Amino acid sequence: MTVNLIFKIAAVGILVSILSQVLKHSGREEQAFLVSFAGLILVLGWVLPYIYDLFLTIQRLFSL
Amino acid sequence: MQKLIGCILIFLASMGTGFLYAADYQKYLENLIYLQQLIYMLKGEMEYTRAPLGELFGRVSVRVQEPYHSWLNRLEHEVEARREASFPEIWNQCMEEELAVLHLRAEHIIILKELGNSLGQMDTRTGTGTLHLYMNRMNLEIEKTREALSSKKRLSSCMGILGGLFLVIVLI
Repeated sequence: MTVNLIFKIAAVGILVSILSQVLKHSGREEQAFLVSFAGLILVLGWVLPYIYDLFLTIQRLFSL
Repeated sequence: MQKLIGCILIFLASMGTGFLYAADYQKYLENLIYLQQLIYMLKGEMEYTRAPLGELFGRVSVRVQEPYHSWLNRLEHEVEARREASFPEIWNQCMEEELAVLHLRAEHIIILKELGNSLGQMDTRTGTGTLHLYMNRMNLEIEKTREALSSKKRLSSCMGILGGLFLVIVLI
């Protein structure tokens, strides 16, 4: 896991929040929700493999 | 270096799409205004010449640009051919085929079809009244479109730029 991933997640977070605000101010709240949801799914997609590795490591460490 | 060029191209493409959408909306408004002017010309011809519908369409068609020119020409020929179809059917068919390039929204197509339903059935005075009513409705639609124009332009430009940035970050 590199530092780049953290920067990417931060950039996506900022962009999603700006986009969400712009859409909310234009009265398109459903589209704002969809954008936030899409950003969340995208970031989860990036982070999930590392979470899985974390659980595997914990399992191995404690011989579970 | 290639990555940087690719990112710039993606960003520019996305930004361009946003601006293009805004320009399309502006063009749509202009089309609505032109349609209203065309109906005003028809009304004027009807009041002044009291000519039959076919001739009316022919007279106005020489003064307008495409695709309205083809539309009115076709209407003139179809009406004068006096086939078995009723005038509303001829109007609707010509409108759907010749004005398809305008990509009118459903509510504006309905308004235009309603005009065709009322036009061929009445005397000149009622016909001009119908056209006047139609022009008032078009005025309302144009005002609604104009009010939404500035916010849509801003929104689409913003979305284009932010969407481009989003894609660049995802693809890096």
